[in-house]
Amino acid sequence: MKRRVFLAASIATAALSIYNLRAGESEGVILEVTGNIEQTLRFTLPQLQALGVTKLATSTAWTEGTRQFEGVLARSVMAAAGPVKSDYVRAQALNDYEADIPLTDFADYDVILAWSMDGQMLSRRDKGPLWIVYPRDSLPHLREERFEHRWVWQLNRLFVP
Amino acid sequence: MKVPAGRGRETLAVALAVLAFVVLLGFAMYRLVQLERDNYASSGEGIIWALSQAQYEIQRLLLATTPGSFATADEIALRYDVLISRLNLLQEGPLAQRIAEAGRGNVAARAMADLLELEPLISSSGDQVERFSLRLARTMHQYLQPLGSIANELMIQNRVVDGQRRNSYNANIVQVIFSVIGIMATGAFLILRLMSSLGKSAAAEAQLRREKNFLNLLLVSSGEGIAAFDARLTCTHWNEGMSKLFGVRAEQSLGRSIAELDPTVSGQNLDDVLKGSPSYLAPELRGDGTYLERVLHPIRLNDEVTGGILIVRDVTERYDAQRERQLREVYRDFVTMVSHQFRTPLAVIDSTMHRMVRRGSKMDEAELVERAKTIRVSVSSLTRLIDATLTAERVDAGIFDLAMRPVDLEELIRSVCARYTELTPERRFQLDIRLGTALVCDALLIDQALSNLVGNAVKYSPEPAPVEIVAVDDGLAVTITVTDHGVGIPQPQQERVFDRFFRASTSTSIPGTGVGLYTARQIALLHGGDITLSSLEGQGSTFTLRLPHKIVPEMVRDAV
Repeated sequence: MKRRVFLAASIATAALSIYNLRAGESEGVILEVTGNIEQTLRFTLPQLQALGVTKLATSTAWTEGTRQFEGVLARSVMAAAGPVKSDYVRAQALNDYEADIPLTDFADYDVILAWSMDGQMLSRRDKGPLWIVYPRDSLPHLREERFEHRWVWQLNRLFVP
Repeated sequence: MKVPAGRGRETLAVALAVLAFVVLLGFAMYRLVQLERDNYASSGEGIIWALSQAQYEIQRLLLATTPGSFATADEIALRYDVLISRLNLLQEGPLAQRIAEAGRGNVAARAMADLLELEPLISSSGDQVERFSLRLARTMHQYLQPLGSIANELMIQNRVVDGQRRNSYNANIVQVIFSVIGIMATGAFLILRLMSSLGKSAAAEAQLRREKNFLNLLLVSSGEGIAAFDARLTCTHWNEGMSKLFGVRAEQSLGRSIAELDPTVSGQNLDDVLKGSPSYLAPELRGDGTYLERVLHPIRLNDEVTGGILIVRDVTERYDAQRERQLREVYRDFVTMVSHQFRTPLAVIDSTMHRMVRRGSKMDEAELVERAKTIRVSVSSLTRLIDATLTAERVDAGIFDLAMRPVDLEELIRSVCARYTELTPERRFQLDIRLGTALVCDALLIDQALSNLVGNAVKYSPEPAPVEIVAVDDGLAVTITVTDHGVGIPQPQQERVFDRFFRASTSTSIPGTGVGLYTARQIALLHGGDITLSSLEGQGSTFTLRLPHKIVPEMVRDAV
């Protein structure tokens, strides 16, 4: 039952984003920050890049070897959203996956929303448009299992409850 | 204190406990680290989840492209891309490895290849799904079941692996628990040992402190003088007793040479002590009439002599008491001897007088003269006895008045022997007298000296054994040797036999005063001569009395 409600909600969300695309006012938007904040923000890739480009070399639990990631610091994106009353954010993906991430993660670690891996832009056929990447090589405790569900890929929406 | 074997066992037990403690701790740590490592291994997302998501996305795509659905071209493109991403995920990293291990490596790749083959058709059709929906459904449908069966297989595998891991985890935990119990047991043992040894050492320390206090008390309160000195013979301790005996206070004596503080202690004594042998210094008379006895003892530290200790005792009272007792003995013996010797001539006189009374007028002139002569001999013997008694007293008191006149020594020797023959008729005397001119001397004193030597020979040799007396005159001096075959005198005691009151250990069973040889030697010394001794224990003794013809004043040694 819950599942069906959830499904309906996600279809509605998808419909909403398609509506935005249709409206032509958000051509090329890859990330939406919405919820209990002053104003919903929509970012295109250049807009995200304008917040500062951060490079991060790390291994992941999905891939082999060390990969070069490029993206924007998650805390920069949250700072752009202004004051937030909640202490976590719900990251949502194109494949309807969602996970709650404590905002302290963004404050304490250099977590990035990566748009490229090894110089290759992430497409939505391959974990794009954005992938939440933790610096797990430099901070070994981030390798723990409880962090892995926060590595949301195909990220397109941050919802502040 | 424990016996060494017990202590060795104790040490071994503690060493074993420490070893067990370390081994158990190391083992527990190793196991815990292993557990932690086991928990670490994981992949990005569950393989079952990834497989079911792939299945789910196939179905969503098919649903979106079913004729009659209201999906837009963008929506279809999104579902298409998401499915591609899901199939991609199954072909890379740890997930691909897991699927390959299950032997189904190519399912995702084939699904992807089939899907990409349809891409031109789908993208060119827009939302006119009728153009490709049947073909897509037929193509992708065949992958739903294999993906499910891989998930099924891997789920079972996971559960088995998880079960095994949990078992080994449980086994590890049990091992760790037992290790911890062992650690606690050995730790408790070690703590108990530590506490008991702490208690023991505290008790030992308290005991040591009590002993030290007690020793200090002894040192201070002892009536004896106690001083200690180091290897350089410097005084390091000087107790109250020392201060009283020497009139020197501790602060004045510390740091000074011990030989300087007590000059009676010779350098030789101190050397002996530092070499490790204790020495005893017999009581010595001091100016104030007290007698001090000294004992020197080395102080050793780890088999090395680091100094010595000097104990001085005031033995005046003891010494006086001993001398008094000896004097009492001398006088008692003297009285016994005198009464015994007096009895013989008195008996002779009595019996002669008795006979004279009985015979009365029947006695003729010649017999009367004979009897009277006998009485006179006895009387002169008594006179001589009285003289000898007085002489001994004189010698003892140190009063001398030598009556020097020429004396026929042969006659003197024979008369002494005759006296002893009278007393002990069984005794034989072998005389070898080769004398020339008479010797100028005090007849009474020489008689006394000779009597003492002969008396000793008789006293200390068994009855039938002869006493040999040899007298020779070499022109300068007369030498008289008296030899017996009696008990003899032990070598170490020989030089002390001429001491006043000294009696050799071999003579203790025979009554005596210990003054005879002393008196004899004093008499010889007064005549410028001397008495020497050679003796073998158990074989007999030879005393040699040497009397010079001419008395050289320097030769007359101080008597007394």
